[in-house]
Amino acid sequence: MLFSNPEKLLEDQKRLSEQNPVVLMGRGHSGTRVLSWICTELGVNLGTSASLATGDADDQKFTQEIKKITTNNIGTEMLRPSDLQRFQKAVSGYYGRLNHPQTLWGWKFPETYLIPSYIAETFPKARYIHLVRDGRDIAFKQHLTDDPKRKLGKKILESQNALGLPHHLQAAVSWAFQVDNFDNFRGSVSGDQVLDVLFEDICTRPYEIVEELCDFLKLSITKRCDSYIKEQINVKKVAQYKENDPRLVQEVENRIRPTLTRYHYLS
Amino acid sequence: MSKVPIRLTIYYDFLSLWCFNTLLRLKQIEQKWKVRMEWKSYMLLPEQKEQAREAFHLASQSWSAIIDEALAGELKPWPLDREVPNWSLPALAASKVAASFGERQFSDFQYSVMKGYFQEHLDISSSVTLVQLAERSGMDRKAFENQMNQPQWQDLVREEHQQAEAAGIHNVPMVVVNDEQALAGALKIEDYEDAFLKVR
Repeated sequence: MLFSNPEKLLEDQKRLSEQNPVVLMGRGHSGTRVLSWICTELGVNLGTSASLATGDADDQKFTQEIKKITTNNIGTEMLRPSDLQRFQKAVSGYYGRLNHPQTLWGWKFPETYLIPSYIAETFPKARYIHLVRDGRDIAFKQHLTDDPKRKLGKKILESQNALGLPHHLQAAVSWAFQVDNFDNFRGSVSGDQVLDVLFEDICTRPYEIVEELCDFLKLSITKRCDSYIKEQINVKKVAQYKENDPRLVQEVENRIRPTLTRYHYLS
Repeated sequence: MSKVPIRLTIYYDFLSLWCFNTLLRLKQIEQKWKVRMEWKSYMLLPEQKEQAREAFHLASQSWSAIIDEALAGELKPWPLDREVPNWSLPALAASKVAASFGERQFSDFQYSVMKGYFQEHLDISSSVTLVQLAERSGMDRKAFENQMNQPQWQDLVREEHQQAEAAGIHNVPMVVVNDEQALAGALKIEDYEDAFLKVR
Protein backbone atom coordinates (compact mmCIF):
# COMPACT_ATOMS: atom_id res chain seq x y z
CA MET A 1 0.00 0.00 0.00
CA LEU A 2 1.39 3.37 -0.96
CA PHE A 3 -0.19 5.30 1.87
CA SER A 4 -0.29 3.12 4.95
CA ASN A 5 -2.73 5.42 6.70
CA PRO A 6 -6.04 6.04 4.84
CA GLU A 7 -6.76 9.14 6.93
CA LYS A 8 -3.45 10.62 5.92
CA LEU A 9 -4.24 9.82 2.30
CA LEU A 10 -7.52 11.73 2.47
CA GLU A 11 -5.89 14.61 4.28
CA ASP A 12 -3.13 14.77 1.66
CA GLN A 13 -5.63 14.61 -1.19
CA LYS A 14 -7.61 17.47 0.29
CA ARG A 15 -4.51 19.55 0.87
CA LEU A 16 -3.29 18.98 -2.66
CA SER A 17 -6.67 19.71 -4.21
CA GLU A 18 -6.57 23.21 -2.77
CA GLN A 19 -3.29 23.99 -4.49
CA ASN A 20 -3.09 25.51 -7.95
CA PRO A 21 0.36 24.62 -9.26
CA VAL A 22 1.67 25.92 -12.54
CA VAL A 23 2.57 22.95 -14.72
CA LEU A 24 4.57 23.35 -17.90
CA MET A 25 3.26 20.91 -20.45
CA GLY A 26 5.17 20.16 -23.59
CA ARG A 27 7.20 17.48 -25.29
CA GLY A 28 10.95 17.61 -24.63
CA HIS A 29 12.90 19.71 -27.16
CA SER A 30 9.90 22.00 -27.65
CA GLY A 31 11.52 24.88 -25.81
CA THR A 32 10.32 23.80 -22.38
CA ARG A 33 13.72 24.81 -20.97
CA VAL A 34 13.29 28.41 -22.11
CA LEU A 35 9.73 28.51 -20.83
CA SER A 36 10.82 27.06 -17.52
CA TRP A 37 13.42 29.74 -17.00
CA ILE A 38 11.04 32.50 -18.09
CA CYS A 39 8.56 31.30 -15.44
CA THR A 40 11.30 30.96 -12.85
CA GLU A 41 12.44 34.52 -13.55
CA LEU A 42 8.83 35.63 -13.15
CA GLY A 43 8.97 34.26 -9.62
CA VAL A 44 7.32 30.87 -10.08
CA ASN A 45 9.08 28.20 -8.02
CA LEU A 46 9.49 25.28 -10.44
CA GLY A 47 11.90 23.43 -8.21
CA THR A 48 14.73 23.81 -10.64
CA SER A 49 18.26 24.99 -9.97
CA ALA A 50 20.82 26.91 -11.95
CA SER A 51 22.95 23.78 -12.21
CA LEU A 52 20.18 22.07 -14.15
CA ALA A 53 20.17 23.69 -17.57
CA THR A 54 17.05 21.80 -18.65
CA GLY A 55 14.88 23.75 -16.21
CA ASP A 56 13.42 20.43 -15.04
CA ALA A 57 12.35 19.91 -11.45
CA ASP A 58 15.56 19.11 -9.62
CA ASP A 59 14.07 16.39 -7.44
CA GLN A 60 14.93 12.94 -8.64
CA LYS A 61 12.63 11.19 -6.19
CA PHE A 62 9.76 13.02 -7.85
CA THR A 63 10.91 12.76 -11.46
CA GLN A 64 11.77 9.06 -11.18
CA GLU A 65 8.27 8.33 -9.96
CA ILE A 66 6.73 10.39 -12.75
CA LYS A 67 8.74 8.42 -15.30
CA LYS A 68 7.41 5.14 -13.94
CA ILE A 69 3.81 6.35 -13.82
CA THR A 70 4.05 7.71 -17.34
CA THR A 71 5.46 4.48 -18.74
CA ASN A 72 2.66 2.53 -17.03
CA ASN A 73 0.02 4.68 -18.61
CA ILE A 74 0.86 4.88 -22.29
CA GLY A 75 -2.07 3.71 -24.35
CA THR A 76 -4.53 3.63 -21.46
CA GLU A 77 -7.38 6.08 -21.18
CA MET A 78 -8.52 5.30 -17.65
CA LEU A 79 -6.80 6.53 -14.54
CA ARG A 80 -5.29 3.67 -12.55
CA PRO A 81 -6.14 4.14 -8.85
CA SER A 82 -2.77 2.75 -7.78
CA ASP A 83 -0.93 5.15 -10.09
CA LEU A 84 -3.09 8.04 -8.92
CA GLN A 85 -2.06 7.35 -5.33
CA ARG A 86 1.51 6.99 -6.44
CA PHE A 87 1.34 10.32 -8.30
CA GLN A 88 -0.21 12.03 -5.29
CA LYS A 89 2.42 10.66 -2.98
CA ALA A 90 5.18 11.74 -5.36
CA VAL A 91 3.85 15.25 -5.80
CA SER A 92 3.12 15.62 -2.11
CA GLY A 93 6.72 14.67 -1.36
CA TYR A 94 7.97 17.09 -4.00
CA TYR A 95 5.90 19.93 -2.53
CA GLY A 96 7.23 19.09 0.92
CA ARG A 97 10.82 19.03 -0.29
CA LEU A 98 10.24 22.46 -1.84
CA ASN A 99 9.43 23.51 1.75
CA HIS A 100 5.72 24.01 1.08
CA PRO A 101 6.15 27.21 -0.93
CA GLN A 102 3.54 29.84 -0.33
CA THR A 103 4.41 31.64 -3.54
CA LEU A 104 3.51 30.32 -7.00
CA TRP A 105 4.92 26.85 -7.50
CA GLY A 106 4.78 24.03 -9.97
CA TRP A 107 7.15 22.06 -12.12
CA LYS A 108 8.45 21.34 -15.57
CA PHE A 109 9.16 17.75 -16.38
CA PRO A 110 8.25 16.71 -19.92
CA GLU A 111 7.05 13.24 -18.97
CA THR A 112 4.07 14.78 -17.16
CA TYR A 113 2.86 15.95 -20.57
CA LEU A 114 1.70 12.37 -21.06
CA ILE A 115 -0.34 12.12 -17.85
CA PRO A 116 -2.40 15.32 -17.64
CA SER A 117 -5.41 13.52 -16.16
CA TYR A 118 -3.41 12.58 -13.08
CA ILE A 119 -2.58 16.23 -12.56
CA ALA A 120 -6.19 17.35 -13.04
CA GLU A 121 -7.53 14.69 -10.70
CA THR A 122 -5.06 15.74 -8.02
CA PHE A 123 -5.14 19.50 -8.63
CA PRO A 124 -8.53 20.59 -9.99
CA LYS A 125 -7.27 24.19 -9.95
CA ALA A 126 -3.91 23.53 -11.67
CA ARG A 127 -2.80 25.92 -14.39
CA TYR A 128 -1.27 24.47 -17.53
CA ILE A 129 1.12 26.29 -19.80
CA HIS A 130 0.99 24.24 -22.95
CA LEU A 131 3.98 24.62 -25.21
CA VAL A 132 4.01 23.35 -28.78
CA ARG A 133 6.83 23.47 -31.30
CA ASP A 134 6.63 22.71 -34.99
CA GLY A 135 6.57 18.91 -35.31
CA ARG A 136 8.82 19.13 -38.34
CA ASP A 137 11.61 20.56 -36.17
CA ILE A 138 11.01 17.86 -33.58
CA ALA A 139 11.15 15.10 -36.21
CA PHE A 140 14.85 15.66 -36.73
CA LYS A 141 15.78 15.62 -33.04
CA GLN A 142 16.33 12.71 -30.67
CA HIS A 143 14.27 12.34 -27.53
CA LEU A 144 13.53 9.51 -25.16
CA THR A 145 9.89 9.55 -26.22
CA ASP A 146 10.88 8.53 -29.75
CA ASP A 147 13.74 6.21 -28.88
CA PRO A 148 12.70 2.54 -29.30
CA LYS A 149 15.57 1.53 -27.01
CA ARG A 150 14.03 3.41 -24.10
CA LYS A 151 11.06 1.94 -22.26
CA LEU A 152 8.88 5.00 -22.66
CA GLY A 153 9.80 5.58 -26.30
CA LYS A 154 9.17 1.94 -27.13
CA LYS A 155 5.74 2.02 -25.49
CA ILE A 156 4.71 5.15 -27.36
CA LEU A 157 5.95 3.87 -30.71
CA GLU A 158 4.32 0.50 -30.12
CA SER A 159 1.01 2.16 -29.34
CA GLN A 160 1.26 4.06 -32.63
CA ASN A 161 2.45 1.09 -34.72
CA ALA A 162 5.60 3.05 -35.44
CA LEU A 163 8.36 0.72 -34.29
CA GLY A 164 9.35 -0.14 -37.85
CA LEU A 165 9.51 3.42 -39.16
CA PRO A 166 12.67 5.44 -39.81
CA HIS A 167 13.62 7.76 -36.95
CA HIS A 168 12.32 11.03 -38.41
CA LEU A 169 8.87 9.50 -38.75
CA GLN A 170 9.02 7.88 -35.33
CA ALA A 171 9.83 11.25 -33.80
CA ALA A 172 7.07 12.92 -35.79
CA VAL A 173 4.49 10.31 -34.80
CA SER A 174 5.55 10.48 -31.16
CA TRP A 175 5.20 14.29 -31.24
CA ALA A 176 1.73 14.14 -32.79
CA PHE A 177 0.65 11.49 -30.29
CA GLN A 178 1.69 13.66 -27.36
CA VAL A 179 0.14 16.86 -28.69
CA ASP A 180 -3.10 15.06 -29.60
CA ASN A 181 -3.15 13.42 -26.18
CA PHE A 182 -3.08 16.83 -24.49
CA ASP A 183 -5.68 18.23 -26.86
CA ASN A 184 -8.00 15.35 -25.98
CA PHE A 185 -7.48 16.10 -22.32
CA ARG A 186 -7.97 19.87 -22.42
CA GLY A 187 -11.77 19.59 -22.67
CA SER A 188 -11.86 18.19 -19.15
CA VAL A 189 -10.57 21.40 -17.55
CA SER A 190 -11.78 24.96 -17.76
CA GLY A 191 -10.46 26.97 -20.71
CA ASP A 192 -8.95 29.58 -18.44
CA GLN A 193 -6.72 26.95 -16.84
CA VAL A 194 -4.75 26.44 -20.05
CA LEU A 195 -2.46 28.87 -21.81
CA ASP A 196 -1.27 27.76 -25.24
CA VAL A 197 2.15 28.98 -26.30
CA LEU A 198 3.98 28.29 -29.54
CA PHE A 199 7.75 27.99 -29.29
CA GLU A 200 8.12 29.97 -32.49
CA ASP A 201 6.23 32.88 -30.91
CA ILE A 202 8.54 32.85 -27.90
CA CYS A 203 11.48 33.21 -30.30
CA THR A 204 10.02 35.85 -32.59
CA ARG A 205 7.92 37.99 -30.24
CA PRO A 206 9.05 37.11 -26.72
CA TYR A 207 7.74 40.23 -25.00
CA GLU A 208 4.19 39.72 -26.23
CA ILE A 209 4.28 36.09 -25.16
CA VAL A 210 5.65 36.92 -21.74
CA GLU A 211 2.91 39.48 -21.38
CA GLU A 212 0.33 36.82 -22.18
CA LEU A 213 2.03 34.61 -19.63
CA CYS A 214 1.87 37.38 -17.03
CA ASP A 215 -1.80 37.93 -17.79
CA PHE A 216 -2.41 34.22 -17.37
CA LEU A 217 -0.62 34.16 -14.00
CA LYS A 218 -1.92 37.64 -13.08
CA LEU A 219 1.59 38.80 -12.33
CA SER A 220 3.86 41.54 -13.56
CA ILE A 221 6.93 41.18 -15.72
CA THR A 222 10.08 41.30 -13.61
CA LYS A 223 13.47 42.77 -14.34
CA ARG A 224 15.04 39.31 -14.16
CA CYS A 225 12.66 38.00 -16.76
CA ASP A 226 13.30 41.00 -18.96
CA SER A 227 17.05 40.31 -18.80
CA TYR A 228 16.55 36.62 -19.51
CA ILE A 229 14.58 37.39 -22.67
CA LYS A 230 17.24 39.80 -23.87
CA GLU A 231 20.12 37.40 -23.25
CA GLN A 232 18.74 33.94 -23.94
CA ILE A 233 16.09 33.94 -26.66
CA ASN A 234 17.45 32.80 -29.99
CA VAL A 235 15.36 33.50 -33.06
CA LYS A 236 17.50 31.11 -35.14
CA LYS A 237 15.82 28.15 -33.48
CA VAL A 238 12.71 28.65 -35.59
CA ALA A 239 12.05 26.32 -38.58
CA GLN A 240 15.25 24.33 -38.17
CA TYR A 241 13.68 21.53 -40.23
CA LYS A 242 14.57 23.50 -43.35
CA GLU A 243 18.17 22.34 -42.93
CA ASN A 244 17.04 18.77 -43.69
CA ASP A 245 16.35 16.89 -46.90
CA PRO A 246 13.06 18.31 -48.28
CA ARG A 247 11.88 14.79 -49.22
CA LEU A 248 12.13 13.72 -45.58
CA VAL A 249 10.33 16.88 -44.49
CA GLN A 250 7.58 16.04 -46.97
CA GLU A 251 7.27 12.55 -45.48
CA VAL A 252 6.92 14.07 -42.03
CA GLU A 253 4.26 16.49 -43.22
CA ASN A 254 2.29 13.70 -44.84
CA ARG A 255 2.44 11.62 -41.70
CA ILE A 256 1.33 14.21 -39.12
CA ARG A 257 -0.60 16.65 -41.30
CA PRO A 258 -3.75 16.92 -39.09
CA THR A 259 -1.79 17.98 -36.00
CA LEU A 260 0.48 20.34 -37.96
CA THR A 261 -2.58 21.89 -39.58
CA ARG A 262 -4.43 22.28 -36.29
CA TYR A 263 -1.55 24.36 -34.98
CA HIS A 264 -1.30 26.30 -38.26
CA TYR A 265 2.12 24.98 -39.20
CA LEU A 266 0.52 23.86 -42.44
CA SER A 267 -2.43 25.42 -44.15
CA MET B 1 -18.34 37.08 11.92
CA SER B 2 -15.30 37.42 14.20
CA LYS B 3 -14.32 40.90 15.32
CA VAL B 4 -10.64 40.10 15.14
CA PRO B 5 -9.30 41.85 12.05
CA ILE B 6 -7.65 39.83 9.34
CA ARG B 7 -4.11 41.03 8.76
CA LEU B 8 -3.01 41.35 5.18
CA THR B 9 0.55 42.08 4.19
CA ILE B 10 0.46 43.13 0.58
CA TYR B 11 3.62 43.33 -1.49
CA TYR B 12 3.07 45.65 -4.42
CA ASP B 13 4.48 48.10 -6.90
CA PHE B 14 2.67 51.04 -8.42
CA LEU B 15 3.98 50.00 -11.83
CA SER B 16 1.89 46.83 -11.89
CA LEU B 17 -1.63 46.89 -13.24
CA TRP B 18 -2.30 43.62 -11.44
CA CYS B 19 -1.46 45.41 -8.19
CA PHE B 20 -4.00 48.10 -9.11
CA ASN B 21 -6.61 45.36 -9.56
CA THR B 22 -5.66 43.88 -6.20
CA LEU B 23 -6.04 47.29 -4.57
CA LEU B 24 -9.48 47.80 -6.16
CA ARG B 25 -10.64 44.33 -5.13
CA LEU B 26 -9.40 44.48 -1.55
CA LYS B 27 -10.94 47.92 -1.07
CA GLN B 28 -14.31 46.43 -1.99
CA ILE B 29 -14.17 43.85 0.79
CA GLU B 30 -12.10 45.72 3.34
CA GLN B 31 -15.06 46.72 5.54
CA LYS B 32 -16.96 43.46 5.25
CA TRP B 33 -14.02 41.42 6.50
CA LYS B 34 -12.53 43.99 8.87
CA VAL B 35 -9.28 43.71 7.06
CA ARG B 36 -6.16 45.47 8.27
CA MET B 37 -3.84 46.03 5.37
CA GLU B 38 -0.12 46.65 5.48
CA TRP B 39 1.35 47.61 2.12
CA LYS B 40 4.96 46.62 1.55
CA SER B 41 7.21 47.65 -1.27
CA TYR B 42 8.46 45.38 -4.01
CA MET B 43 10.28 47.05 -6.87
CA LEU B 44 9.70 45.68 -10.34
CA LEU B 45 12.20 48.25 -11.58
CA PRO B 46 14.71 48.44 -8.73
CA GLU B 47 17.16 50.60 -10.65
CA GLN B 48 16.63 53.59 -12.87
CA LYS B 49 16.30 52.41 -16.43
CA GLU B 50 14.99 54.09 -19.56
CA GLN B 51 11.96 52.34 -21.03
CA ALA B 52 11.49 52.04 -24.78
CA ARG B 53 8.40 54.12 -25.51
CA GLU B 54 7.29 52.14 -28.54
CA ALA B 55 7.34 48.84 -26.65
CA PHE B 56 5.66 50.45 -23.65
CA HIS B 57 2.93 51.88 -25.87
CA LEU B 58 2.29 48.41 -27.34
CA ALA B 59 2.21 46.76 -23.92
CA SER B 60 -0.22 49.37 -22.59
CA GLN B 61 -2.74 48.44 -25.27
CA SER B 62 -3.75 45.44 -23.16
CA TRP B 63 -4.45 47.52 -20.04
CA SER B 64 -8.09 48.12 -20.83
CA ALA B 65 -8.63 44.36 -21.06
CA ILE B 66 -6.91 43.65 -17.76
CA ILE B 67 -8.29 46.35 -15.50
CA ASP B 68 -11.33 45.66 -13.34
CA GLU B 69 -14.82 46.69 -14.33
CA ALA B 70 -14.83 49.87 -12.27
CA LEU B 71 -12.32 51.44 -14.63
CA ALA B 72 -13.07 49.41 -17.75
CA GLY B 73 -12.97 51.55 -20.86
CA GLU B 74 -11.08 54.30 -19.06
CA LEU B 75 -7.55 53.07 -19.66
CA LYS B 76 -6.09 54.10 -22.99
CA PRO B 77 -2.72 53.11 -24.45
CA TRP B 78 0.25 55.14 -23.30
CA PRO B 79 0.83 58.08 -25.68
CA LEU B 80 4.11 57.87 -27.57
CA ASP B 81 5.06 61.43 -26.69
CA ARG B 82 4.79 60.92 -22.90
CA GLU B 83 7.67 60.15 -20.56
CA VAL B 84 7.52 56.58 -19.27
CA PRO B 85 8.22 55.89 -15.57
CA ASN B 86 11.73 54.54 -15.33
CA TRP B 87 12.02 53.47 -11.68
CA SER B 88 9.83 51.95 -8.98
CA LEU B 89 11.51 53.61 -6.03
CA PRO B 90 10.22 57.23 -6.09
CA ALA B 91 6.49 56.42 -5.99
CA LEU B 92 6.92 53.76 -3.33
CA ALA B 93 9.04 56.10 -1.21
CA ALA B 94 6.46 58.86 -1.68
CA SER B 95 3.77 56.48 -0.46
CA LYS B 96 5.78 56.00 2.74
CA VAL B 97 5.82 59.76 3.14
CA ALA B 98 2.04 59.82 2.63
CA ALA B 99 1.65 57.12 5.28
CA SER B 100 3.50 59.35 7.74
CA PHE B 101 0.69 61.91 7.24
CA GLY B 102 -1.98 59.38 8.18
CA GLU B 103 -3.95 56.34 7.02
CA ARG B 104 -6.48 58.27 4.97
CA GLN B 105 -3.77 60.31 3.25
CA PHE B 106 -1.90 57.14 2.40
CA SER B 107 -4.97 55.45 1.02
CA ASP B 108 -5.96 58.48 -1.09
CA PHE B 109 -2.42 58.95 -2.33
CA GLN B 110 -2.05 55.30 -3.27
CA TYR B 111 -5.23 55.37 -5.34
CA SER B 112 -4.28 58.69 -6.83
CA VAL B 113 -0.87 57.41 -7.96
CA MET B 114 -2.31 54.25 -9.51
CA LYS B 115 -5.00 56.21 -11.31
CA GLY B 116 -2.57 58.92 -12.31
CA TYR B 117 -0.26 56.38 -13.86
CA PHE B 118 -2.66 54.05 -15.61
CA GLN B 119 -5.42 56.45 -16.49
CA GLU B 120 -3.77 59.82 -16.89
CA HIS B 121 -0.39 58.57 -18.13
CA LEU B 122 1.60 60.49 -15.54
CA ASP B 123 5.28 59.78 -15.03
CA ILE B 124 5.15 58.59 -11.45
CA SER B 125 8.90 58.28 -11.21
CA SER B 126 9.08 62.07 -11.30
CA SER B 127 9.12 63.78 -7.91
CA VAL B 128 7.29 66.78 -9.41
CA THR B 129 4.38 64.53 -10.39
CA LEU B 130 4.37 62.81 -7.01
CA VAL B 131 4.18 66.10 -5.12
CA GLN B 132 1.26 67.17 -7.30
CA LEU B 133 -0.52 63.91 -6.58
CA ALA B 134 0.13 64.38 -2.86
CA GLU B 135 -1.45 67.81 -3.05
CA ARG B 136 -4.39 66.33 -4.91
CA SER B 137 -4.76 63.84 -2.04
CA GLY B 138 -5.08 66.66 0.46
CA MET B 139 -1.54 66.88 1.80
CA ASP B 140 0.40 70.07 2.26
CA ARG B 141 2.71 70.52 -0.71
CA LYS B 142 5.62 72.06 1.17
CA ALA B 143 5.51 69.58 4.04
CA PHE B 144 5.31 66.67 1.63
CA GLU B 145 8.22 67.99 -0.42
CA ASN B 146 10.33 68.40 2.70
CA GLN B 147 9.69 64.81 3.74
CA MET B 148 10.36 63.52 0.23
CA ASN B 149 13.89 64.83 0.49
CA GLN B 150 14.63 62.69 3.55
CA PRO B 151 16.59 59.54 2.64
CA GLN B 152 14.82 57.39 5.23
CA TRP B 153 11.82 56.69 2.99
CA GLN B 154 13.87 55.34 0.12
CA ASP B 155 15.88 53.27 2.62
CA LEU B 156 12.64 51.83 3.97
CA VAL B 157 11.49 50.83 0.49
CA ARG B 158 14.82 49.17 -0.27
CA GLU B 159 14.69 47.35 3.04
CA GLU B 160 11.18 46.02 2.38
CA HIS B 161 12.18 44.94 -1.09
CA GLN B 162 15.17 43.03 0.26
CA GLN B 163 13.05 41.40 2.95
CA ALA B 164 10.58 40.27 0.30
CA GLU B 165 13.32 38.79 -1.85
CA ALA B 166 14.77 37.02 1.17
CA ALA B 167 11.34 35.55 1.89
CA GLY B 168 11.19 34.09 -1.62
CA ILE B 169 8.89 36.73 -3.07
CA HIS B 170 10.01 37.59 -6.58
CA ASN B 171 6.90 39.10 -8.09
CA VAL B 172 3.80 41.07 -7.21
CA PRO B 173 1.05 41.28 -6.20
CA MET B 174 1.48 38.96 -3.25
CA VAL B 175 -1.01 39.01 -0.42
CA VAL B 176 -0.06 37.29 2.83
CA VAL B 177 -3.04 36.53 5.06
CA ASN B 178 -2.40 36.53 8.84
CA ASP B 179 1.21 35.45 8.16
CA GLU B 180 -0.21 32.04 7.27
CA GLN B 181 -1.24 31.96 3.66
CA ALA B 182 0.36 33.69 0.69
CA LEU B 183 -1.75 34.43 -2.35
CA ALA B 184 0.26 35.12 -5.47
CA GLY B 185 -1.11 37.13 -8.36
CA ALA B 186 -4.26 39.25 -8.51
CA LEU B 187 -6.98 36.86 -7.38
CA LYS B 188 -10.71 37.25 -7.78
CA ILE B 189 -12.65 38.70 -4.85
CA GLU B 190 -14.20 35.31 -4.12
CA ASP B 191 -10.76 33.70 -3.91
CA TYR B 192 -9.65 36.29 -1.37
CA GLU B 193 -12.83 35.70 0.59
CA ASP B 194 -12.24 31.93 0.53
CA ALA B 195 -8.80 32.51 1.97
CA PHE B 196 -10.22 34.82 4.67
CA LEU B 197 -12.77 32.17 5.63
CA LYS B 198 -9.99 29.67 6.18
CA VAL B 199 -8.18 31.86 8.69
CA ARG B 200 -11.33 32.86 10.54
